[in-house]
Amino acid sequence: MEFNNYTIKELSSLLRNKEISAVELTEMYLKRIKAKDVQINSFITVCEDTAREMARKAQQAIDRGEVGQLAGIPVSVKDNICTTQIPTTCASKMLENFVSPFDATAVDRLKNNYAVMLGKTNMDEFAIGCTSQRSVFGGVKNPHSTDFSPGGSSGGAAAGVAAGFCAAALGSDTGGSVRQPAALCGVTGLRPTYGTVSRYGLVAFASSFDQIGPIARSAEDCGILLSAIAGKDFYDNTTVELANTEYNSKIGSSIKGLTIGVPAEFFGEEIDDEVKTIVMNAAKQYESMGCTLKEVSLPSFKYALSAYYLISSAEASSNMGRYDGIKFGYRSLNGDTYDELIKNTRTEAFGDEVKRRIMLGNYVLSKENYNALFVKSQQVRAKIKEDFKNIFDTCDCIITPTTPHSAYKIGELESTPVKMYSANICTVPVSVAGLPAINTPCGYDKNGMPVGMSIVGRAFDESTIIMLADAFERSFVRREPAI
Amino acid sequence: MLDMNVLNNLAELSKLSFTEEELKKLSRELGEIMEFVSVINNFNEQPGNIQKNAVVYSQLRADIAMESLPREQLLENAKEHSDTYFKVPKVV
Repeated sequence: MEFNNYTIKELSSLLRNKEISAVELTEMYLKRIKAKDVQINSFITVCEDTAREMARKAQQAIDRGEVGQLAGIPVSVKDNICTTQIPTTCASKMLENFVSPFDATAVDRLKNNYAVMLGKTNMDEFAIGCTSQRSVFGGVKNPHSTDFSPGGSSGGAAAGVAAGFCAAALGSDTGGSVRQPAALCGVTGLRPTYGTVSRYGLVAFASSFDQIGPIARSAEDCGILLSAIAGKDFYDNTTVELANTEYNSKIGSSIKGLTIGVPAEFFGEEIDDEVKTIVMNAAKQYESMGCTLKEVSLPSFKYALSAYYLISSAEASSNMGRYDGIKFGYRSLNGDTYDELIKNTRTEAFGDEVKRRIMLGNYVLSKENYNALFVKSQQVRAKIKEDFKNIFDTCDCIITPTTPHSAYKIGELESTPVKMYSANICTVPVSVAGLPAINTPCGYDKNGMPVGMSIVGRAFDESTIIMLADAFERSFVRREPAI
Repeated sequence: MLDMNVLNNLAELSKLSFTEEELKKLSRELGEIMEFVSVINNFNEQPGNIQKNAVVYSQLRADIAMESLPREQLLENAKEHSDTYFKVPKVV
């Protein structure tokens, strides 16, 4: 019997009822990765021995009967989340051989819950990108059709879950890197409110946006993972003390009477007609379940992409400053002076897009542009947050498409940076405001490629959006990729 | 198109080297990006209560002396080191 299409909830029940052991389950997934990932390239590192050892420990814990739903569940971790003993490469030549001396807090919490880590997933270099083609280990393919990109930057995480290589995954989301690949691969992905999950051990791209988020086969599974990793962390002072981290507590409650905002700007001319129709049909389904749809507006929508790319590049240029070839990571063999060594190291080891963002970021932060670009972007950010707050005065959540188009053919988006940046038009405003959002598949386009919708919630109200996504998923038939 | 002098200065600040050809391409691409983001110039609202950082919550914790990560383990990731020191090219 194969279990690769099972949810965490289903697998957990099998494990507790002793219908399968954690070791057997891990072996099944490892076998599937070995046989099939050559087609997808979703993993950078598969840690077979560590996974087997973790599975043995998980089984002992299950036998003692003292564990939660994640015990023995095979998961993957995006390769920008630090893990001891196993390399954390960020899909970059810069960190090709880097092994972190500590575990990220999110990984530490997964281990404490006896989850089994199968390996580290492929991504865009340093999580900068939205196609998962900018990896020094080669691009990732979409399991629904390998001619298409899986989205990114957590493309390996989303493709791996869709292909049944793991039950769930940890990705990271800066401007949409969990939600967008989840949408394009037809799985569920959640970006938590900024401050919910510790960034300790998440290799920084744009620190005021970065959040680790779960990708799984259902909203409920995302809730299980989020409940395990969320909460205040001594090592990250931007994490918030949370009153409740049981994110599935509202699942199954009545959604009757809830008001769902439909912002006109997210259904404008930039959005493909087929995507609009599929997402609007899903919204109408909520109406038939007793919710009220309300047309709303986010006037600052048009400034969101600009503010995001300006602030995130500024933050990236600063974060990338640490790569000098001296303390860790790649070190050039050429360079007789300190300055030459640093320059050669960075020039040889960073990819084109990373270099472009560093240059852009330093341009934004230069004396001549600081006020006109950086400070103004921060003002726009505050305005976007205010506009969302106004919507939430009368709505319980917001529904939007997750992507302006379904999956692009590999190579189609990478030709010009501007074209690529526009692919995040639906996810970026939510990141800018620091709000939570969940993507769940809601239909398929004419090529059979998945289309996702996002449900955006109030800050720290993940349990409502999980409940709503779950309510939709109960009647939605997800298509499994033929891999 | 971004001015070549500006680009050369940015490359120096970014500690990156580019060939003439790469710089020309970068000038075009960054020019396109700046045009793309120029819509922000139309944003003229001046909300009185704009906070400098609207999203990030940050609370300082008590400063507690703790044991650091093992030095030997940290040095394992350095390509060149000597005893307990990182090695760099001669500075002076």
